[in-house]
Amino acid sequence: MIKNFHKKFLVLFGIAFFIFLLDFGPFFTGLKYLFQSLSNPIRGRVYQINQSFLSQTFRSKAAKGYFLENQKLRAELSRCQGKAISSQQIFDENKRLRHLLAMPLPPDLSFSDAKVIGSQGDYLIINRGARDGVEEKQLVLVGNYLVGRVERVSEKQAKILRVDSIKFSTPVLIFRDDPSCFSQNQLCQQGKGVTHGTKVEQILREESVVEGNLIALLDGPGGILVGQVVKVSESSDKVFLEAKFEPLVNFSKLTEVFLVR
Amino acid sequence: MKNFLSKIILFLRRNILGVLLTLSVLIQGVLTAFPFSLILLVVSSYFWEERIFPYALGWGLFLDFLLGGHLGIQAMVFLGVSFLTLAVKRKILGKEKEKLKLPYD
Repeated sequence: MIKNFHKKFLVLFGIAFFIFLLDFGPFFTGLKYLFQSLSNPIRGRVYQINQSFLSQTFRSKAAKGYFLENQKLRAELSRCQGKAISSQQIFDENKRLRHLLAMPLPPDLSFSDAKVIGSQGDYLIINRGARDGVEEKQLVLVGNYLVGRVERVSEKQAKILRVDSIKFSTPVLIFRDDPSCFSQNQLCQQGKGVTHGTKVEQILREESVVEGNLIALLDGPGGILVGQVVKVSESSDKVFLEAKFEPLVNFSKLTEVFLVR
Repeated sequence: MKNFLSKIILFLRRNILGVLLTLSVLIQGVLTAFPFSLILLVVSSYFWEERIFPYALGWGLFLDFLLGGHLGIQAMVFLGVSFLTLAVKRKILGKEKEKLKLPYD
């Protein structure tokens, strides 16, 4: 009797183990999908009932109160998050317009517009190419913020090297973020340096570069902003200062850019 | 119709544990992670003895399908639990049966 009981168990356990091993292969995949496709609608329906019916009806009065309060707070949180996002958008736009108004680009500059059609590592791809008159080394702007420089041109497209790329390097001027400094940033100069990625290097130690200073393009048309200083530190050789900066352009939201002719 | 209903009631009365176990497997697979089915399996194993093994395998596989996990795991767990229940029952109650019953017990 006892032997029979053991034998029965071992046979069935062996079958279960065999099924377990077989499932490492693709043997039961179809059957599993079939079962899932049949059971998922039921599971979804049961989940809905569980959420809407059980959670509100069968709980205690206090638990129901907490549940409703939780829902209310979640809705309020979503509303506040929405407001915060729209406030940030307004703030960014205001900052951009203020910079543009206080520090206008030279009137003799002419632009051609282009759409950003893709992104590839450090490069942005635009829908204008050689046939539209795009040339290498052209500066690319949004408002008066520098986006990058045209690096490679094909017939219908062009690649722009982003300003925050480690391959991008240009001399810059660092000045105070003060509306009165925008139009005459040479007078409010805090320092000069050369960008290398998101760092401005070769700043002289006696120059008083601080966090929040703005960085403008030194070589090229005036009034083009590159970024804002977020951290100042000593260079590794202790000879110069270096400033880490954030570009003023949000590359992930770029849809249109302007090429300086 | 009445005959059919009475047959169903009779079936439910005879197989109440099986019906409950099937329901608990469904609930565990769809609604909650609490192991209702294991508790009921222990109870069923106590009464059904070794007749439970094929059912344990079947319910285990069914639960595996419902949970969408690796096939055979729940089946092995169910078989193991029912085997353990039977082993414990035989170990304890088997010795109880072997005891000499005296008239004044």
